[in-house]
Amino acid sequence: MSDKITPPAKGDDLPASTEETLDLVVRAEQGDAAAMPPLRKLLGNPAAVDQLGGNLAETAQRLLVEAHCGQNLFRREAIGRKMANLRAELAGPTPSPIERLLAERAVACWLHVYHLEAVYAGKGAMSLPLAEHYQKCIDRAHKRYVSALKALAEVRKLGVTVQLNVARKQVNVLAT
Amino acid sequence: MSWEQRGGQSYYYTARRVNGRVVKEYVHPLVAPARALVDADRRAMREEAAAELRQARADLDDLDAALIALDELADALARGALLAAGYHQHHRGPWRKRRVRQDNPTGEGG
Repeated sequence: MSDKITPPAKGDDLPASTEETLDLVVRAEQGDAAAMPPLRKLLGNPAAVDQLGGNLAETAQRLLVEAHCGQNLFRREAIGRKMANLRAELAGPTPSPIERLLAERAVACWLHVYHLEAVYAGKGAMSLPLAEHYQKCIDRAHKRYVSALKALAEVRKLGVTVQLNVARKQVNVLAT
Repeated sequence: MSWEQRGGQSYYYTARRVNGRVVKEYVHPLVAPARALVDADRRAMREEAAAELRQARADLDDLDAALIALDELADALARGALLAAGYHQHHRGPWRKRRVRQDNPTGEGG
């Protein structure tokens, strides 16, 4: 896939929001053939995938870095580097848009688990209800992290390509 | 715990739960002001702890919410990519390639 990313044109029939994308996938899962062309178009457009998922990933990661590092710039730098290494390791040398998004999610999930465990272990004393809430959050975060890694591994293992038929020309686009 | 007016006089009562029922207890007027201060102090501490707990929970839930939104979208797009590539998942099992008929090479339409 080319590294050049063209932003989706205005008025394109691509889903504009997360809700529309989720709706499209649900329709495709239910066997609605009409949902497939826009879905293929979306997945074949790296800019559209990055635009939809990238913002969410960036927001989540920024929130987590702020929560974990606060004003500590040294910690921020260290965590930033660790995240960059993890991102590069997970995404691989030539990631597709979906692989990139799944890798970003895995990085965010890793930071969430790391942050929660560090805060929980660092607290000297806390009330029982708060400790229980922490435990629940850690369990959920860990489950999400494992699920993120599993999804990335699955997509990579199956080596999925999405086929686009553009007029008479058939273009094979790697879309995962 | 409250001050109650009875016949022009103020009396301090405490309340506690016994077997699910609220039982009020009379406090002697000599120790009532001191007891009221101690109770108010305890109540303030309880309220402070509850507010701390609420804040801590809200902070944890905010982080959770940011990840849930990302999670939903990433999962949906991954599923969409697999579907668009001709895979299907039966009852949350492994993803399998759909059998493609010769006259329908994209595997669309069921």
